[in-house]
Amino acid sequence: MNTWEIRFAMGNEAIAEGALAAGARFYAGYPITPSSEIAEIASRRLPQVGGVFIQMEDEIASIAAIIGASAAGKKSFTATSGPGVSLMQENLGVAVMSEIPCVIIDVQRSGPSTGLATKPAQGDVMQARWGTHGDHGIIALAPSSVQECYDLTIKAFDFSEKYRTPVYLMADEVIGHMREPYVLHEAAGLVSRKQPDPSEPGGDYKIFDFERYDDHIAPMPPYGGKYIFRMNGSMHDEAGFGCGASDNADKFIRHYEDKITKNRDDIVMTESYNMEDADYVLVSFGCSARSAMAAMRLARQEGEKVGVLKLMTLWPFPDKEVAAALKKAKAAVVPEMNLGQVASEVSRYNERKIPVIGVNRVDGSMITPYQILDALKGLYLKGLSLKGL
Amino acid sequence: MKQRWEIIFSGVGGQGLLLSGNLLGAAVSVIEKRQAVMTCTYGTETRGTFTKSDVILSDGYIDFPEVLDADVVVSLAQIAYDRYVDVLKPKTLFLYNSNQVKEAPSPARQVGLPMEEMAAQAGAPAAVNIVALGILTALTKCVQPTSIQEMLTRHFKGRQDVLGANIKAFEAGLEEAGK
Amino acid sequence: MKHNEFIREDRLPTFWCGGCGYGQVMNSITRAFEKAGVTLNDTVLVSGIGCWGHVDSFLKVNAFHGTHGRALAFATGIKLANPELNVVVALGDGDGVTIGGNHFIHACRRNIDLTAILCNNYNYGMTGGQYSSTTPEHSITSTSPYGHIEPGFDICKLAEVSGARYIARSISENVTQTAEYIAEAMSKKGFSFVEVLTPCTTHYGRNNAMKHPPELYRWLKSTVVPAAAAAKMTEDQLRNKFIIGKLYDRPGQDYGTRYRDEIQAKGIEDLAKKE
Repeated sequence: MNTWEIRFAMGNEAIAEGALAAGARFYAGYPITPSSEIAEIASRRLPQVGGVFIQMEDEIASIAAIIGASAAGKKSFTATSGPGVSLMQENLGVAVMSEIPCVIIDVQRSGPSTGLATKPAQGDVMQARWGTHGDHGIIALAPSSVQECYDLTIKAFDFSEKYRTPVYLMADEVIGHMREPYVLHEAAGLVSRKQPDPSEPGGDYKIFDFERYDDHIAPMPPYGGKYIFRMNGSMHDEAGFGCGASDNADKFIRHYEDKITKNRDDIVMTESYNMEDADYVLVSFGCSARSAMAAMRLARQEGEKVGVLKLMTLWPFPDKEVAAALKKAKAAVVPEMNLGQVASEVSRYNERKIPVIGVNRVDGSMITPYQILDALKGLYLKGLSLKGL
Repeated sequence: MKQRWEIIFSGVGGQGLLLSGNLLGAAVSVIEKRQAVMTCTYGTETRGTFTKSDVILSDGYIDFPEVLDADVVVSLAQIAYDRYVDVLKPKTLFLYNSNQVKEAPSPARQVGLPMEEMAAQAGAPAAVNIVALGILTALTKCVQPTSIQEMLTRHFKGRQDVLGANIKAFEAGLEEAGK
Repeated sequence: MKHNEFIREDRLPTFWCGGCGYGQVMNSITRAFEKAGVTLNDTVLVSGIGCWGHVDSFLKVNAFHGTHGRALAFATGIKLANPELNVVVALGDGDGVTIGGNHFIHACRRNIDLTAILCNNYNYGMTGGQYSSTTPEHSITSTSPYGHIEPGFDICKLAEVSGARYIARSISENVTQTAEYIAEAMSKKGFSFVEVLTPCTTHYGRNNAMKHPPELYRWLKSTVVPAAAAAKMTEDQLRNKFIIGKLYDRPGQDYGTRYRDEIQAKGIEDLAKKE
């Protein structure tokens, strides 16, 4: 792997540079705090590498433009925050239905509605999963450091291209604006969408004929080549023609879900810290994973066996990993800057029904390690001497 | 040498607190290959409201990115000073700009210096933040002065006069604190 | 290619109602394609949702059938990503200037190199004849049973003040004339706009005492004035009339060309290499 440079910079910069390293050459977006730096950097950097940046009239148009650009063959992305993600849900469905790769960066802030515009939150987890209407699978990754902003953005593009699906990168205000050193490096083994076999005759092309392929992902040529095809956000057949047949609809909707869930082993990324002997497991993600790591360090200093399971993939949910982490533990704690969106998922894979405790904060401030320790102390670790601030 | 530092730069918007934190973090991580994290808090207005940047320096992995147990607090303005003056611990070095701040009793180790005067004397009246960085560098030795100078050189690349003034401001801070 | 070769005969007949003008407009489009000399491969037809939004499924060119009102935004991305493509956008009145009004004015303003063909039938035909932003005042629709109380848009004027490069208006019955406007629109670099007034016989006609298609066609004709005649008429005489013909044709660099030219002129790619 070629290292280009080490920089001390904010997560939003690492995301923009990661997108470029992944081969992104088109950005359309609408400015919104705390994601705007990504647009600013994209507007400066894309023309330098032969790409195109455009600021659209709203987020509905922004995601539409990146979907269009992707269908024309460019790796494309947009960046926004919760209010913009709400507006993007409509056309996110088009990307799902037409199986068009694109990456949506969500630098999460406090909600609902305009909320606390400059304050962090992690309240878009369920919106990412179920925000657009209808059943479908979705991929969402959550960085918890500036380096992960870079690396997971590259991953987001790779997954997007590989599975012909929209992918969310779910950062948050803390991670987006936090500065840390990160290594800009060559993205090894970049993935680009599969192309039709050159022997395949030109002309009308069935762009949704996934069943012809072992991996159930149909190749996706760009507009303007030898293949002529139809993208369609309405229910369609293999060739993209509107189709109301119930067996056809059943086949496609299950396909949208299955192509993600059946590849979960490839997509799910987690990291375990001190899990070998952990009595207490902290399951967390994004900026709250940093709080969990600090809580673990402080508890271990006092001899308490606390471990951390950090989720880098939020969707598809790391069900097996969570189940395994909870298998030997006495209790699990889920710190998150929302009122329990991931904790409810964790509870679904809690086979032994151990206590799952949420440490939640929605006031726009990070969860401190002391709050996590207080939760443990209040219930189990009576001897812990550490006090919250 | 101490391995981990938790530092707060505080003041009001427009005083260059983000730049001080950024230069320090970059000097430690990019030049010295140690770890650094910086987070910021600021009001919705660009200028005039309370602003701070938290910088954590370490030889190893930094988990929580905000300062929980400050080793050093730098305050360039009265509203920032007032926030910290009575909540700090005795171990904390409380460095303030005596041109803006009226000293009050504090449990912390207080050091007040006329940073604005020093900046003006160095020929860079706007570089109060860089004077503060020089003082901090000399008093804590949390970073090599040459690393900061290297980052200043990179930051003000192509603006030779501004660079010269900022280097002087940094050296003024270093020297005054070294006395 | 001959005009009829653009049609997918295996998908015929269309699902449009008897007396509907959309078949006529589709005919004009294929004739314009022939005249413009486009191929199936280098052309993308972007459509919205509504009766007219189905036009792409009867044609052989590439298609992008997106969401209601967003066709111009999808088309913007397609065109900027591959400037070699001929991107033609099929809009309706509900789709193009009601739910999609914001995208419409901004596509005009930016002067994106697209050709938009908007069929205006004064109501939402597909969902049962509700009023749109072009429905004339006093009209009866399924959501204005006592008579419509909002004024309708003059879309060509909207396009003009928003900055469109080329504007023409026609009536679906005039197939040859419409084809000429569309072909000319396609030949212009920048945002070109052709509005075609079309009858919705099933809803708008029946709701407004024009049960038989010929009555609706006669009424449509009574609402339009050719541009040459309009030039000699007073403002009073032109009230509630739509001017048909080539209405606007101005020079101006399109967005994509300008974007690329500015990058080249400022040496941005070379600067990056030096960095």
